[in-house]
Amino acid sequence: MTAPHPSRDELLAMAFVDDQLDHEARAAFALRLQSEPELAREVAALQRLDLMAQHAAPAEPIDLAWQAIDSEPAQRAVLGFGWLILFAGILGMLAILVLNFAHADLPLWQKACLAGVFGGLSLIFFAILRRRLQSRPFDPYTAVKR
Amino acid sequence: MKKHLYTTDDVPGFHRTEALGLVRGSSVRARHLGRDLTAMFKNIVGGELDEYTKLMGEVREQALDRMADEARALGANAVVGVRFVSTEIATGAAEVLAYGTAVKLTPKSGTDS
Repeated sequence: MTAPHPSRDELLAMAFVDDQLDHEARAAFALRLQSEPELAREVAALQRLDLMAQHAAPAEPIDLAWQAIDSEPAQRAVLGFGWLILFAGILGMLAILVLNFAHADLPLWQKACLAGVFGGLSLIFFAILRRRLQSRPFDPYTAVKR
Repeated sequence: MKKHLYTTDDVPGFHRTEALGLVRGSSVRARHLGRDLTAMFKNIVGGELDEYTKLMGEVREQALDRMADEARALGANAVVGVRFVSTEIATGAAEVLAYGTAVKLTPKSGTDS
């Protein structure tokens, strides 16, 4: 089975990442990236590969030791369980805070102010988290190991 | 362009035909809280904080690419005298500034590029 031929856009993206386009073609392609997210994602994936290829040094002995330890079932289970009970604890504490806050003997305006602070912070956090998650495919630098 | 970045002012086999000025690229990046927490425990027991090694690698490569992009926009084919400056903007975040001089290099006669 033979691999399909790359499309013209894929070839252009490769040439863009390899810096093989002339000045005008490069500027025109860069302009397209601003309005074509699929193409921008393709370029980011190629840049990620390029970065990985630039740092294709052989693994150090300590890398192999870390990989071996991280793949041990006991290590994975302990770490996973640790994170799980940590998150459960944090969620529980948040629930206790919300319940105490709801039943606190405070004037309504004070409750409204505190709810505004925590609600606002939460909304800002989720907006930033959403931005990060959506932009992550366009960030080739996450592939850099060291 | 990415491969034509030099820390020296002169490049053997080439001569500078044009100096196009200062170019720089900077980036500030952070790891997420989970990685910071892992690094905090590694700080207690010792050894390499590979979370932060990776962070420094990411920020260095991004700064270099931004510097190279700026040089490319000026029409340069190389950057000489490349230097790095690192500082700390916020706890757990790393900033790297890469800077150098954008130049046009041409092979000396009788030299393969």
